Amino acid sequence: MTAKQILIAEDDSFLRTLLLTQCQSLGMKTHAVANGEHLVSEALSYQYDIILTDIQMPVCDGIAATRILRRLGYDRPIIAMSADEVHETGFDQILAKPIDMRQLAQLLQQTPAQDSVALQLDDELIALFYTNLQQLSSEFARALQLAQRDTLRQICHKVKGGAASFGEADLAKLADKLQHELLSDTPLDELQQSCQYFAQLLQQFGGSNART
Amino acid sequence: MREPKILLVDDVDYSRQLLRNNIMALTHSRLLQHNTFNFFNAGTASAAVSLFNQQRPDLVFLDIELPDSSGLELLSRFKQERPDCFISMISGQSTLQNVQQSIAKGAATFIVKPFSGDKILAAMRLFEKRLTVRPIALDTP
Repeated sequence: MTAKQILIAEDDSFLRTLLLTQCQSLGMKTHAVANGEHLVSEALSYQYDIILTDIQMPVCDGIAATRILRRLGYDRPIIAMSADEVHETGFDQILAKPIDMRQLAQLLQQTPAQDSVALQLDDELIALFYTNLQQLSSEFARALQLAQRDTLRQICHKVKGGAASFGEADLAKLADKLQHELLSDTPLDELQQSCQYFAQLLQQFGGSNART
Repeated sequence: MREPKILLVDDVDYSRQLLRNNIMALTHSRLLQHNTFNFFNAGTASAAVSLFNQQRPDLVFLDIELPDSSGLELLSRFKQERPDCFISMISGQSTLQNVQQSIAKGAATFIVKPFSGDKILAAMRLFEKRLTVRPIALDTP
């Protein structure tokens, strides 16, 4: 059976570590964030079976984050932890702080893993993706010659979004890194090498994988 | 009740195709209430505006970064013209600012790239839930 995945949002580092340890000891795959902003970003990846969140957190609190998620249709279990009384309908359960670890363990074990739907990628779609990479490689090389920084960044953005959907996680990571570098104040001259490498990589990926 | 119309707005053709294929796969797996949908494709903001006016879609998947306009500007325009249209924004960045701006401008939901079956299902289920509250009128063109 696949391990359940839990997202923990807690700004107190001691309590965060304690919760991480507890969930790991229950055989769960864990990820922790320290504020509501990161909670929203992470939750929208839809990879977690359960969210466990503190209420009072910086940037965006647990209630605001949960309201945003519920409004966007997020329908997976969210468990809150609070020292005060909370009247909020978005949570599946509210645990009183200090947390009774035995009660938490029982609740986490009772909460079922979420059904997951696999992404459907057929041969035609995959071929379309790699052909597109080849086109982007030419566009990227041209934009690099013309020092069109914004076009370079847009291409990185496109590659990042697409590559991860098609299982090319390393390419997506590289595109994301270069996109951030292109957004920064670093002069384009200093990014030449990274850009050239990226153009070559796009060409290779597109060329070796494109199917007719 | 007629089949819902879906407008897919993304300048990357395989992204539109991916969404269409996966929405249809969800219907084949009987994970959605509807058996079929009517799809329309737009690769630019200007094409999206024409199709939006001509076809009056019930649901729009709208990429936040388009070559000729910002998806957020288009979102405001669509919501002004048809406040009841369900719009799902698509973005590579799920920053709180992006999400909150989209909600403030009237987006119903927000899909963060990379795509996954679960993200597409969640958006479609929310759309169908809203439809049960406000069904598509029979006489809607």
